[in-house]
Amino acid sequence: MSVVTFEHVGYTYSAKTPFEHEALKDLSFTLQEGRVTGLVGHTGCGKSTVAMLLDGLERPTSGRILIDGRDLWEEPKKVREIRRRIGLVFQYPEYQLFEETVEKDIAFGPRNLGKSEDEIRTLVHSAAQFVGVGEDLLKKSPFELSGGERRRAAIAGVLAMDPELLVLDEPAAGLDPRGRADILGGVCAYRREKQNRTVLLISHSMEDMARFADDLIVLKEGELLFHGTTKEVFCRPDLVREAGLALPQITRITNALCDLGIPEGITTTEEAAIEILKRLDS
Amino acid sequence: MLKDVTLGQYFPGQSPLHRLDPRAKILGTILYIVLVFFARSFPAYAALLAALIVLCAVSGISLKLILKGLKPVVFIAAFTAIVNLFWTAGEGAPLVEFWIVRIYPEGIYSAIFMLLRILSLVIGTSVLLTYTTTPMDLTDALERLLKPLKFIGVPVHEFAMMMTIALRFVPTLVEETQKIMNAQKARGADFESGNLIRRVKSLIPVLIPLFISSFRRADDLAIAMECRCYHGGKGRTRMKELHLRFGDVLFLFSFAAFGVLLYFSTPFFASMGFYIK
Ligand SMILES: Nc1ncnc2c1ncn2[C@@H]1O[C@H](COP(=O)(O)OP(=O)(O)OP(=O)(O)O)[C@@H](O)[C@H]1O
Ligand SMILES: [Mg+2]
Repeated sequence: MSVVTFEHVGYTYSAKTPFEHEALKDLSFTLQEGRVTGLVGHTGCGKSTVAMLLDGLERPTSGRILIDGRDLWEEPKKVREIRRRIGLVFQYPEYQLFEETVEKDIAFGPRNLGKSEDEIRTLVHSAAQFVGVGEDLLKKSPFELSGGERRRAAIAGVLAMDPELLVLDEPAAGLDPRGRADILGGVCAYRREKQNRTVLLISHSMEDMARFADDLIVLKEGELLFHGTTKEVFCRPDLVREAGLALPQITRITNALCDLGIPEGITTTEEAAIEILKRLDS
Repeated sequence: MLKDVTLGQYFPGQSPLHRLDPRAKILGTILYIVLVFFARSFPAYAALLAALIVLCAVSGISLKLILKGLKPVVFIAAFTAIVNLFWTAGEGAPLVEFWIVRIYPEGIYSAIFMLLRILSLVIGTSVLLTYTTTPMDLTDALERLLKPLKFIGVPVHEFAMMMTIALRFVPTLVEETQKIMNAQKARGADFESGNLIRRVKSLIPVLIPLFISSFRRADDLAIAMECRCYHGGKGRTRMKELHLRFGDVLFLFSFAAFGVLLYFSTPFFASMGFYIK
């Protein structure tokens, strides 16, 4: 798995009522297998809606979602089967915790998948390790944790399901820089361990995208603005501005310095430092 | 599933019915309910249904939404109609008779009337009140109407505030439930299959987070209200004062006149043989 393709997908909330709201319009893209694709866009552009549709929690109002070439909604009864292969971490997933201990809560997903107790234990512990939930936390009640710890526990709950495709909706929103790096880094480490699983990472932080995403999908008001590699997007400040986003400061500086021969679309400070030093040495 | 909860939901609009003073609408609704129970002749019912249709048309709410709002009562209405159909004994010979079932013409009449009564009750109250009045307006109006009860020690303002808060959080809770259900579904939870016990058990992962977030929300709200110096109803002024306008008075008077007419015409129609029961 899992080649995911959106074909002219449209989605309208509360269709045919006065509260009708068209969240996605004629959206088409394909997620490249084995890559981290970032989904970026301004608040309310429909990012979370894409995640929900991808997991088969709602049915697109128009168009199709193909997974491995098969329509997700071909047999509505089978959607649950496909959902088991996709791990979706919701935006602010803390509220989904409910068990007595964090360990049991992380085990909820794998248990629903019908894994054996031994497998569950291994899955829970390895998932907890990747996102930095220590042994002491595992024994605690999820309601005694801090916000950031709860977020980690919730993400571990999805990683433990060992999904073939991982969808993360703003996994680091509202965390301190260290927490952001820990969580995103942990997810990437997990992905590498699992032979480069496909990941869809939703965020509006271009800094995070610079570090973690291979490809980017840029949405604007429910429509596709651009789909390409992260580098390509970082070379197009006009596009990023149109989407209501901002490039990282370092990219803006180096893009302005392109007269000095620094290539456009620098993503990180380290990369910028190398390029600038090269110019200074010569 | 949860999206179908339209009962008691406000649909924004600009119709005359939306703009009517909420107090006039509450009184009108009470009058309407009384009328539905007093109307016992065909002509009276026809007049009432005509009034209902006019109200629906004026409200500008689509027929589809009105019918959708009936979903929760369909079962009760059908049940009542069926009970009436089989259990009403008439004076003449039964129309159908086999085994223990006897259906009389009177049974058919009362079944139809029961059905009409329940449906017109629900449609009327929702169109006149809940679909066209914001919950805030509704509680404001109730508070104003019940104000006299303060003198006998009823904490009217506190009740109104409790109701406002409860109504305000119904859609939020529905949305939250949907969100939590989705999150648990994404973790492989199954709410649709299995026997009753399994299904009830499968709701635990939804109910616990829901309770916890409700308590937290209640706490937050209480703190937020205190921070803004809320201390109950004493000496509180309102931002939006309700003012009865000419149109509101006209609506009430014409509705009342219609009711009086309907009430006094009943004996007259009855004497002409239109009476039921
Ligand atoms: N349950 C809902 N009912 C009606 N409209 C909704 C609902 N959920 C979202 N919307 C609307 O759909 C649009 C897209 O919402 P979505 O949650 O996908 O945005 P988003 O890109 O995830 O935003 P954010 O970055 O703030 O999370 C928004 O304009 C929002 O108002
Ligand atoms: Mg979102």
